[in-house]
Amino acid sequence: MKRAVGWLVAAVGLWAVASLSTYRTAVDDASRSEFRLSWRSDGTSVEDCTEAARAEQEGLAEHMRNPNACVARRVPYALWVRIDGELRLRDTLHAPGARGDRPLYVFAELPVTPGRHRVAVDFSPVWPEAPVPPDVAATAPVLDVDTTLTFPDGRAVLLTMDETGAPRLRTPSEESDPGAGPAPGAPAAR
Amino acid sequence: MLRAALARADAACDALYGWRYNPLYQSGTIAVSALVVLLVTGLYLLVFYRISDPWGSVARVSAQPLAGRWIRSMHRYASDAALVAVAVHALRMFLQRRTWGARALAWLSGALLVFLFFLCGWTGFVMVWDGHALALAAEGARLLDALPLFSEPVSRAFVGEREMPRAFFFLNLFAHIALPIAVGLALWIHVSRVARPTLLPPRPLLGGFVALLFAVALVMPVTAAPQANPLVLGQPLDLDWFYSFWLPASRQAPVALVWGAFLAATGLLVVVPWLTRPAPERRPPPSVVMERFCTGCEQCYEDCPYGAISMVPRTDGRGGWVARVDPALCVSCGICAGSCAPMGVGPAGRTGRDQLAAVRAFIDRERPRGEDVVLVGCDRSALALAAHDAPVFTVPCAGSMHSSVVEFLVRAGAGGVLVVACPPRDCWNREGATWLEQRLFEGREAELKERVDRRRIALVWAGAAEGTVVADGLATLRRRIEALGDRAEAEAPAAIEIDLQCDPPLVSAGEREDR
Repeated sequence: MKRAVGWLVAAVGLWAVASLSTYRTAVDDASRSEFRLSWRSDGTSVEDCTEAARAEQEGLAEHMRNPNACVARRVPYALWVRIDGELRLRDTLHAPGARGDRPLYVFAELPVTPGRHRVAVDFSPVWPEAPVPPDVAATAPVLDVDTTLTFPDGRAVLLTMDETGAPRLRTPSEESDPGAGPAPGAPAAR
Repeated sequence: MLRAALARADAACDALYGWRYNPLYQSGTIAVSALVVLLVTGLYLLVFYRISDPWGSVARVSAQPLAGRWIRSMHRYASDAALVAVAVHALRMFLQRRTWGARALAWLSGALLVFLFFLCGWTGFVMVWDGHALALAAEGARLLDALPLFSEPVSRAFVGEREMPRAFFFLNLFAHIALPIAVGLALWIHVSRVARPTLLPPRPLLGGFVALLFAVALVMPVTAAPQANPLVLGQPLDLDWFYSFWLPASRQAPVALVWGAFLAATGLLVVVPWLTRPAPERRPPPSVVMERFCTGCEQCYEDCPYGAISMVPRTDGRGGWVARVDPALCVSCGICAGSCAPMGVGPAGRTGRDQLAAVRAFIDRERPRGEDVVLVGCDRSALALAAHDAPVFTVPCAGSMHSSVVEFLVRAGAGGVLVVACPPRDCWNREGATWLEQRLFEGREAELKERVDRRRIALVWAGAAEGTVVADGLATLRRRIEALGDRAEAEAPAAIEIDLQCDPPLVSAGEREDR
């Protein structure tokens, strides 16, 4: 009898462990929605050139003389996000890294009420006061979105920038619902 | 209060399983058993896991009706059982104050093991790539982003911007395989300061544990939860409350608070050896060897549960070997005092000779008569909590008691001696209770002498809350003594010179006169 009770107690203990091991829980509010911005951009650079003094040049070996020393500097970007005309995010983005030479990134998660909203996003360079060469100004990546989006319950809408610099929206379609097929966060197919 | 609760739980488990198979006493070995189960089941799961399709491959394994389904479930439940066992083990060690001094290394490596368990569990859950996996990965990334380690947030990997790179799953798989190696190393350090470490429980308990894991895995198989989708918010998660109990609160809390809580918890675990260490004046001293009594028999060296005694060549001109105690390894358990026949080793004030002096005083004070049974035990055993109608002679640890104490009591007039010791698996000094039984009844060196009537001696294993076991043992011994009838005359305590008789022949006559 005692042995049977012992087995029963042990089984109940392990059953409790197993139950707590896969306890279905909602850790987030499923009725909210979110507007996400996430992309990486090389941005654009301007060069600061200085002309070396003649005396300084003459002090160097001939093969090391460089009359025009130029240092490329990444241009900061301004990011504006308006939802239904309300300014929700305003930031100036500087290139990260110890020398400020890493690509720019944008990462923001803005809670929104589910439904349709007018969304305007502007991501553009903050040019220095010095004149910028026209080709640099023309090729600088810029993201300018002004559109109306539907934010479903319990879903996030993601605005990103593809390799060509074009804006791209990702919304969870019915097909990308959990368990029904490949999801945006699923690993790359072989 | 916690210690009393633990003692009651111990008593309940003793009643159900007996002390040999009490899972609370075997918490450490059950954790190791769970690791073995994890290793075996993990090898099977590894064969089917695909970093190119983590969720799909795990879902397919979970759908295998014959093996994969229950093997995955066993893997999951064994990891949880390991964590529960570790928690019980750590609580026991903490409540028994087995955390400081020479034991600090075991405590600190145990804390490292807990951290590694969590990390290993974390990577294991991420491998599945369901909602729980994504929540863990995203939260981990959020915590990492608070540190000045990366030039851009790791969290961006989990927002759905691009497909999850296979490199992520490869790294995660690598970590999940490499971490158990670190667990093995930490476990080796954990037991490195104990002699004869016991890593696995007795076979019946091991078999029962695995059988129950198997049964629960069959009845309650782990099913595949929906695949992770970063663009879905508020997805219900199949949360593991052992490894991820912190996750719901952590996701709502500021990063600094989460890091603060983590560092505070880690700091608390790390400082336990210093917090629980007694003040210097109350700290029990390490054992010392009185070389003139040491015969070089090696018994203390054999018996020391912590490997703190070594044998070194004698330097006093007598040749042979002499025991030497390393104070840095000695926990002052005093087991050596019980294992030294000539009573030449032990912590100051607790050697066999000191015990005989104490028992002399006890006899003078209590004057037990022929029908009296004297209870002998430590204040951690059942003697501490229960009141008994018998004289009680307390020793620091029953395992450190010299067998001559029992002989002295019987020869001085006690009708019988009931030795109460902690159950062997719960001996605060590891092997003390085991060696004690062997010295009293099985002729282990420093044995109870043949001349002592064994019918008047009994030994019971009783945890702190098992007063009834002591009462039963007492009643049984009293009945036995009563049945024996008349007994031999008591000797005068002053005439009982066991300590002198125990002196080794190497002690010179001059030395004897000095004493």
